[in-house]
Amino acid sequence: MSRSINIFAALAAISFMCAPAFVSASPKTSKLKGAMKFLSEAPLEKIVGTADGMGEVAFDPMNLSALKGKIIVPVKSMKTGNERRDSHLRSEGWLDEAKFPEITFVSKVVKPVGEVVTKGPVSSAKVTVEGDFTLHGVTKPLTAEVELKWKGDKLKLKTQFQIALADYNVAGTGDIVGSKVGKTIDVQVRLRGVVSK
Amino acid sequence: MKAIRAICLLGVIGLGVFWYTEGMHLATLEEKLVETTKVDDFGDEVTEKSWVKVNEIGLDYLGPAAGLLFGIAVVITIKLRRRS
Repeated sequence: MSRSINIFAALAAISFMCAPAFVSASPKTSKLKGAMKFLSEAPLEKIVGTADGMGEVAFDPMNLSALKGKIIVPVKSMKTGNERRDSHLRSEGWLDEAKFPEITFVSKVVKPVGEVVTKGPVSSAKVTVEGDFTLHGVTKPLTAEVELKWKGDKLKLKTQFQIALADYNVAGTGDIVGSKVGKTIDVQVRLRGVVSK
Repeated sequence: MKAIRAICLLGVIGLGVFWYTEGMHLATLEEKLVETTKVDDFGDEVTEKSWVKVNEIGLDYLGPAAGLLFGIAVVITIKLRRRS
């Protein structure tokens, strides 16, 4: 009897020691890759483009508020289907790739929206991410709703938001913004990666 | 002369129709974004994006060509008026 009590006590002690480790498990880092799609709608022209996206996210499914991440989009990877327009986009009058080669988003505050939903091996959650969005050398706060999904060691996220070109001092050449290029740009980001062990 | 003028004006209209059928782009589209749907390893429908080579001519080429034809028609009209 006393032996079984001892075993129970030992198991309880082990459980107690292990419990804090699960609660405060440090977030796992995930390198993400994917694509960004952007859409400009102006009275004279509708432009659809893509760019490569990459990022690093520190992710702990037990504590979504601790999510931290940075997403980088190289300006040179932006494509709109017309070589001359792409070189204009990268030029000094527009995004000025030589001076500002990257578009970045760095998360600051993450608030979970609702509960984590688990269906079979796939779990998903929505979070509101507040962070700093940097374009054309101008950094502004940006809030976006991000959908996270994870399965085993795989993680993917998607989000979409709008940016106003004037907020980032992107004036273009002539009076193009507002007529041929939309004043606001719709941005969709899809990234995925593997969480490091 | 009148026949040439008529051909030029018809050319302008033809270029307009051609521009319409090409998708009315301001800038010629050299590549088009094609999105195909597939189911990923999460069981979600996702779109895969790829650029496919096309040549949908825009106003950057058709505009000057139409302008040239229209200019020729105007010059012919002026010459015909002066003659009469």
